[in-house]
Amino acid sequence: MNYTSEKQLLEEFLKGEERACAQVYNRYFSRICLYASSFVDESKEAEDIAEEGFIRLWQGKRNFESLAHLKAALYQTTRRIGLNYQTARQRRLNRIDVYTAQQDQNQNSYLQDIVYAEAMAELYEAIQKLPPKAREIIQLTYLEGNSNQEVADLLHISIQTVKNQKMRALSLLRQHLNRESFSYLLSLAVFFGKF
Amino acid sequence: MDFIEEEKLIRISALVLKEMQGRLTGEERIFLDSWLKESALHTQIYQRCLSGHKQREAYASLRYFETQRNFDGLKAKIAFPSKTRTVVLRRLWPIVAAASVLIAISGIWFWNKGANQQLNERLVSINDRLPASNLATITLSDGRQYQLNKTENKVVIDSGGIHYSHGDQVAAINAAVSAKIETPRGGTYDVTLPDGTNVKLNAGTILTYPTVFAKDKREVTLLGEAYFEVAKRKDQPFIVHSKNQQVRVLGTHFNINAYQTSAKIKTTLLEGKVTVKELNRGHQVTLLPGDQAVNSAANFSKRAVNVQQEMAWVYGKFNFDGKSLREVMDELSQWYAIDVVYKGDIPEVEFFGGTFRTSKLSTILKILKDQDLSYQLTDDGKLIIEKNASNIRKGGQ
Repeated sequence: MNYTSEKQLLEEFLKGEERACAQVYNRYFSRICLYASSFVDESKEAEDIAEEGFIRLWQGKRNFESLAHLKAALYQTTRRIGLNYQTARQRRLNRIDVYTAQQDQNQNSYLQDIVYAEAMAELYEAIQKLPPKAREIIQLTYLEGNSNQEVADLLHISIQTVKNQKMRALSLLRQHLNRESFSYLLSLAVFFGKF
Repeated sequence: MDFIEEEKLIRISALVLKEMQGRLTGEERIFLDSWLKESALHTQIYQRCLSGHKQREAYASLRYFETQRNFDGLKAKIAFPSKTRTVVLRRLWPIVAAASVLIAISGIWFWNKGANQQLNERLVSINDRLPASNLATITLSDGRQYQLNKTENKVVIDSGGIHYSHGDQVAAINAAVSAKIETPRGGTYDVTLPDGTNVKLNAGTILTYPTVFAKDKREVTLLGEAYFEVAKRKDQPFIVHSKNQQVRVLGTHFNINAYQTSAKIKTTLLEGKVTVKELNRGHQVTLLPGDQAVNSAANFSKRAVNVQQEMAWVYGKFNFDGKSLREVMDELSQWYAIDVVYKGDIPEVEFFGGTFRTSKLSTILKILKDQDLSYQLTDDGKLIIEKNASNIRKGGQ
């Protein structure tokens, strides 16, 4: 089911092929949900917004020059739906709820949130592409905040093995992003980073 | 069609990822820097991308959303064109799709309604409560007081004064020797201390600290709950005073839960090493990662804990595994700024599972239905919990 080239995927998508639509949906659904999360409180609502975004994308004019162009359109559509959701919700809310910080977010801030959704989704994908063992180590240590000792206990391996596997996982991650010094991102940003 | 802004932001996101790895080329740096300088909002989003806490949170969300992906469900709502589709059919599409969305939505509604009807009929919540937001007050020792901006989430105090993490000034220090940052119930905030130590304050928490640390030690006082990432300083121990307890570290990550209303102070270590000293009897324990010191009037002990559960709040989650009703409600009362009232006999119950701290209160209170409890939320923020009437009858049989 995978497309060998982005160009082919785009061409078939433009023709409205179901297979290509599925591919686009599978590729972008979770990041669009993450993006939609900033408009609503509950994940179910975010999923609804994302789904509506895809529906509108199919039904709109499909004249995209590239996948990046398509993705940009998808973000725009999702933002419009999200803002509508909010307007509708605000009408339903009673005064007690009006104090929330969420209402202070203006439209521009929702636009800029694209940066966050995209960066996080790319990071996520790079981690997903790791072989299972390496991914497990990254998940247990950096993402779930376990110490080396805890991971060692959990997996019944020595603490040195944990350290070795962590290093290996990071170097693989670096390859997946095809970029250097990725360990900087994880070790600095995750452990000493800002909250 | 014009998606220029969106396309630009997607490019920016790639630069942010590159920047985090220290791999920006000169030209890219100029582009990113000029974007960052455009507005405080940009800097804020950039910092969110760099935040380990946010990265973890986003990872968890993305992983969850992946499980919710369902193309077949979507397909059912949009008729894909057959190769021989007619123009008429094509025109009808939006209508068909809209209709099917409507059907789907009402389906969900009915389903929810069915579930709700299984709940006690008396369970009527007039109001709902939104989760905690960025609320905090800083009070300086000279009496000046500042409400922190709720569109910000982190305040820094250093030689330059008190400012938000991206630079906007809150106040100058002047002659003030100490500062008190206080989050109300329903409020949360992050603070960076003069030595670069990061502290994340949970709701209903007070942290007091000097505007300049002493040369030989860094002392702060905590009431409530906070997560500390202490900057390493070999010769300047970091000491957290809570009621009846002192935690002493050189540089490490730990969480202290010391609410006034709670009978216990819990200190949990993530990384490094800390010593916890109980002041009444003068007992002292050393914690290693995964250990928790529990300090109560009757007892002072150390135990191994599930760090993920203890730290769930830092990662934006509630984890109720194995907690009693009162423990769960204590947590909720801080986060949603509610007072919990127990009416009549409340059975001992234990909870499992958890959810995101961004949920509305009503979403979380659904867990009560499995325990045969009903609740009512009054206008003035009282949450009244009682045993289901039907259950009392059952109990009497």
